Amino acid sequence: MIEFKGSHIISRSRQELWPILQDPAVLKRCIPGCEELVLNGEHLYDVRLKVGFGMIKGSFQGTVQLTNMVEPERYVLNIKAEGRTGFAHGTTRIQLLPHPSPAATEIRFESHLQVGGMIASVGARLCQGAARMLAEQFFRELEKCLRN
Amino acid sequence: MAKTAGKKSVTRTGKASAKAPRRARQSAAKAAPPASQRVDFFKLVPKPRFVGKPVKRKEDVRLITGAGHYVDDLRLADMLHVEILRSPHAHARIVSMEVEEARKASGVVGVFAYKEISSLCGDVPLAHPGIPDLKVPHHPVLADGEVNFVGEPAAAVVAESRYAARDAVDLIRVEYEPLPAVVDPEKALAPDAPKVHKELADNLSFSWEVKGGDLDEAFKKADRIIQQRVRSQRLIPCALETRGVIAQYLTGEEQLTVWTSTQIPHILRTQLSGMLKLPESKVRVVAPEVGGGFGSKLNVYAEEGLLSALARLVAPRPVKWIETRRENMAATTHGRDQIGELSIAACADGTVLGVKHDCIADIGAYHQLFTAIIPTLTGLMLAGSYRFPAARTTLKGVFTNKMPTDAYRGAGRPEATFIIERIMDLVAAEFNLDPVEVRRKNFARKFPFSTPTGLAYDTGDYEKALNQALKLADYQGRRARQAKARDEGRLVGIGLSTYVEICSMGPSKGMAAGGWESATVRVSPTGSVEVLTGTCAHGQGQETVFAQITADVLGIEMDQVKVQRGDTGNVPWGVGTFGSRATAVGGTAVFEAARRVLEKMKKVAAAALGASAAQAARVQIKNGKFWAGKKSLSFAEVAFQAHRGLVIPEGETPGLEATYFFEPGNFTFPFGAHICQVEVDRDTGEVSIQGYWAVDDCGKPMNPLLIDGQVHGGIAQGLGQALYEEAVYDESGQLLTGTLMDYAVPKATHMPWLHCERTETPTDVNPLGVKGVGEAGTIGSTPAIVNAVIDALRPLGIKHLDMPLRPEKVWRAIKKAAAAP
Repeated sequence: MIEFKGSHIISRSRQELWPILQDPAVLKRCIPGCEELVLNGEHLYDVRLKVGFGMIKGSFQGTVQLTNMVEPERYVLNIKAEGRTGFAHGTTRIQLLPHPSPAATEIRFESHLQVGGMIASVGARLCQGAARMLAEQFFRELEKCLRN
Repeated sequence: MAKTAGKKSVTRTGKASAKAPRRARQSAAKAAPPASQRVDFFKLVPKPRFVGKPVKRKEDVRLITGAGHYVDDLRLADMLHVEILRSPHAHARIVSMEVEEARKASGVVGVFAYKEISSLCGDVPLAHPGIPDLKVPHHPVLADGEVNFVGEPAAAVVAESRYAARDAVDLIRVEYEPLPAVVDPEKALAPDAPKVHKELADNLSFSWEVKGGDLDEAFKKADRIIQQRVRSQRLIPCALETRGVIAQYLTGEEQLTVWTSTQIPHILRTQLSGMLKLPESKVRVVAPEVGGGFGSKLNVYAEEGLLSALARLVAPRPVKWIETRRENMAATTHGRDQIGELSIAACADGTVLGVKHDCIADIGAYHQLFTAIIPTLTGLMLAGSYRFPAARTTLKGVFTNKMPTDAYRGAGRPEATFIIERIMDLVAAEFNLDPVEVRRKNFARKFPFSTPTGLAYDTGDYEKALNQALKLADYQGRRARQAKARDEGRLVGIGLSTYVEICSMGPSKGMAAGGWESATVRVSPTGSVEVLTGTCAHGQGQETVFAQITADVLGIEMDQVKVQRGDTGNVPWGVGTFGSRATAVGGTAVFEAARRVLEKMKKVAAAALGASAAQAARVQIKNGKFWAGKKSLSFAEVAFQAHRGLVIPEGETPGLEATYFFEPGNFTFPFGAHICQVEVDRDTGEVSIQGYWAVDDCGKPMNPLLIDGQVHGGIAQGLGQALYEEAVYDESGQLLTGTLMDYAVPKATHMPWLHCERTETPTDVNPLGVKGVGEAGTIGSTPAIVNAVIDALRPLGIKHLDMPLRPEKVWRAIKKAAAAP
């Protein structure tokens, strides 16, 4: 089980961020290693990505479904991905909190991911760190996106 | 492995509970020939040239130079390669499996799942332990709709190359529906726990009990009852050579040949014949060089059945599968994994009166060959080298979603020895006595010694080994220096274990399958000698020891003897190598066969030399010649005459070979004393071993070099369990120690210098007087090291810690002790 949480401050209001965080084009660009991301139903995305957990790198295919949506405050990502090197199932809770500085939002996230297969037996020690790094990369890319 | 309980022996009444060992004991009286009829090796060969000498191993030149052939070194024409899709889930239903893409991939010959294989190959078998109501789940070679541990085979790809097979495995699409996994064996027994096997009522595979003596009396008379929970953690055997199988079915000849890295080619042949529904005569099993087993190759594996079935599907092309290290960690049997709740009835003078042991064995998801039998050995050996009158073990074997456990070096006895040797130290600590004195107080001293668990120890002198070890280690001086170090605030500890174990497995009545061993000694017309042994070899050095025995009996050189083993095509029958039995049982068979060849050669020589009846009765071998009166023939000349057929003595037949099946009358019980000194780093919790001394007694030593090798390797693995190794599954059943980066086997730098000596207490169970030494080091070392660490931590008030004693655990214990009021 990988459990990690964190937060990031983005200089946009919650109302502005809400649709951006669900825009397939933005998501595809910002999710590290994302090769394909298409909307395939209400709040349901089909995803293909290439990522590394520790020393195990591989392609993963799966779905991300958004549930428990309370605009513009919070939602839950239900993640289901499988690949040659294993699988990851779980949830990530996203909270958008108003930030004291004007037109900014604190994005808090809390992930509970069950990993299995080779990524668990080989990369478990490194998964937590890898996941945190992927999250940081995501927000870095998101900021870049927003600047443009 | 020793068979334990007879049908009536389980849990019902105390009266019948030690039935199987009693049967073993009865067989001791029946099977062994009376000592008067028996010819002992050292009577026949009073001054052996080879036996007992530190002869270098015959097999080492080829193994060291890389000229030996393991399964992976075998390359047959038109060979196909197999890779296996394994479950990434600890517990899941297979909703669907799409194989078309894999089937179409370049180089792929076929993709096979349960439905293609099930009609060709039955379930993975087990040796029935004689435990009534044993629950045995369906255990197919490829998952039948459900997977029950991470690494379970779900499908197989056959391809022209290993690369093509491996790539195609990734193209198989399996939809799994994850099911709740059971990982903790204690929680698995809860009524609402998820079930590993839906067809079974619960996760309890079996209950078993062994007891003897008056426990109520013992616990009434005790000055104190000491309670302790001990764990023998799950280990991964990690043989240097992973498993591997090649199978080929020749349709014309109707002959299946299976080359596999196994300790038991003959048992495997019998079992494969049953799995494949092929007459045994059409199955040949060959174990080429085997690079270590430690019990993990004492089994019949799904892959062995699977490859055999695949060979029939693609006949006559051979199929090959070589296990990767990651597969080996996940899907080759694990060892140990027992939790024991101990109650010890003890007197203030250190006398132990009785022990109650309630054990939960986490057996994993299925039964492998000896899964249920191994933990029963722990119950049988609970008395150790001590004479306390009452003992009881209750055992629950519990299914969890993990790799099954089975034999691992020591197989049930390291767990027992760990328990009883910790008990001796717990008693010593409780009453502030020297652990040496507590042991002396409790030693068994009269032999044969009957334990309350129903075993009969053959011979022993535990105090002699202990005294020699104390002297070797300078125990008194060491204790004095320890006291000084403690005054300086250093955490120095001295630990010992005075183990006894059960070897030379064993009398057939005490075993799940035959306990005998066979040997053929065959002399060719040119005088070269072949020894065919039913034992297998995976590092023990039988080629050397059996050549030593044969050469000494026949009065020839060792290099005239070629030892053949491992091929059921040229060695007709055998049991195999495990339970420290190869020399004691297999070596005796070699001795008896060689002795019979010698007798015949003496008769042939007398006839060929035209000796008188008086001379014929006194034929001697001197300087490699057979002498009758003043005339002599060389060994080769006698061999030639036996085959030429012109001077065959009255009542004899031509040819020169003898086969002997040796059935031992009892197990043997080697013993010894191990002493270890450690220092614990207060700031990091790291344990460093400052000295290690071992005195082992394995009966008559056949080859001191080989004994040292076994003891050294055994201590390394025992040290691994004490300090480093642990198979870790997370709460969802994922194996987290799936590589040698995460699973810590001891490295060369972790090994202390070992000071080893021996005492010699021959057994009367076999004419060699030899007991066995393959597992002794592992059994003796783990408790000695743990006792030393706990002794080091005693000033902090720490009485027990569970293995492995990794720095983090020791450090936390030190911090906790420091924080305590």
